[in-house]
Amino acid sequence: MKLQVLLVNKNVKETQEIKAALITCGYLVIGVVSQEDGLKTVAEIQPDIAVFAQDVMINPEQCCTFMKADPKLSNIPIIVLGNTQQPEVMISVLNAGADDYLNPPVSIPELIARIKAILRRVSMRGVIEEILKCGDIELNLAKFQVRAKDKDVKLAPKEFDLLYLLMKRKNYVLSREFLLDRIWGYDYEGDTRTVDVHIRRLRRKLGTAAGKIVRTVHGRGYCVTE
Amino acid sequence: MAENKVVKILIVDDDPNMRDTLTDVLELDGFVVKSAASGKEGLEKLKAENPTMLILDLQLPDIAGLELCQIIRKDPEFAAIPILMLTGRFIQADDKVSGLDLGADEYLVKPVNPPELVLRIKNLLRRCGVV
Repeated sequence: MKLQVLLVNKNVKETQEIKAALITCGYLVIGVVSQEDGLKTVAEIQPDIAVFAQDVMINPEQCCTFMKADPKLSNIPIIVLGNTQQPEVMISVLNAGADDYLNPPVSIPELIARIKAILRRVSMRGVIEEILKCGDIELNLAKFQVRAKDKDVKLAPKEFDLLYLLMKRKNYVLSREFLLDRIWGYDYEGDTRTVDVHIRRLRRKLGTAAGKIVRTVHGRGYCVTE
Repeated sequence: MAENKVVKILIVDDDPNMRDTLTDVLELDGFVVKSAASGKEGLEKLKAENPTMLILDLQLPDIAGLELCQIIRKDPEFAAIPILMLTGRFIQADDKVSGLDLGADEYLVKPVNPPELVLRIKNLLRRCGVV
């Protein structure tokens, strides 16, 4: 599954350069231009990492504290692209929960290396811990295991990724385009019907446990609700 | 350090002043600190002391810091140990990228700002699930 980076930056040229470099490295990138949209998007899509340019942050400390205080968002690493060399600003932002603070000017290769290092570390930890539950369905990420009504369900890798994303973002409607990009990648040549086919297989394999949990939201996409 | 868990940090740096300064800063914050003056000694102490994390100087007299980082990451016993790399002021940007690509989790340029060092260590340990 492709990892997703949320980039919150109003500097169009810098955003384009960072975006291009991240896409080359195989990441999916979503870009927004304000703190408000950044925090809204973080909650909606729960990216693997969020990169905020300090220039768009009305209050960087408050923004980091807000994310770290929300149990659903607290594990999302935050990198702040600083706009000052003042150490006290950096310390204040790191203290508020940012995982990294890069002094200006931003070196894109260094930013990419830092994103990779943080995600490598998070993945080492995440796979150990993550068990998601929803109704009668339980998904264990580390063991690549799904149980429905206490019975093991054998899923193909893409079906597993699909269920993982939907369960991870429980109660959010995920569009077919989002799921296609995230699981199959930008360069996949198939269309969104691929997602429908996999959802159908998923429902069949989960049986009655899927019930109303895996919902189709007409014209929007799919959603897992309890 | 607010947490009760003992965090042992191994510093590998050939500069005795830097080792002493870092030791003072980290001990003040409640960390247990061990140190080594070369790459070879660092590897020996890594096995003997089993530290929670490593602070590694890039320029060591015997084994280069980048090479040492690679050696440690290839050892299954220490593949996941958090590593913070320290370098001199006139480091090339490419070296930073190489250090992170070769397995360092953090990268700081000397002279180190003590509060920043402590915060970055705590944030790293949090990310690693240590504290």
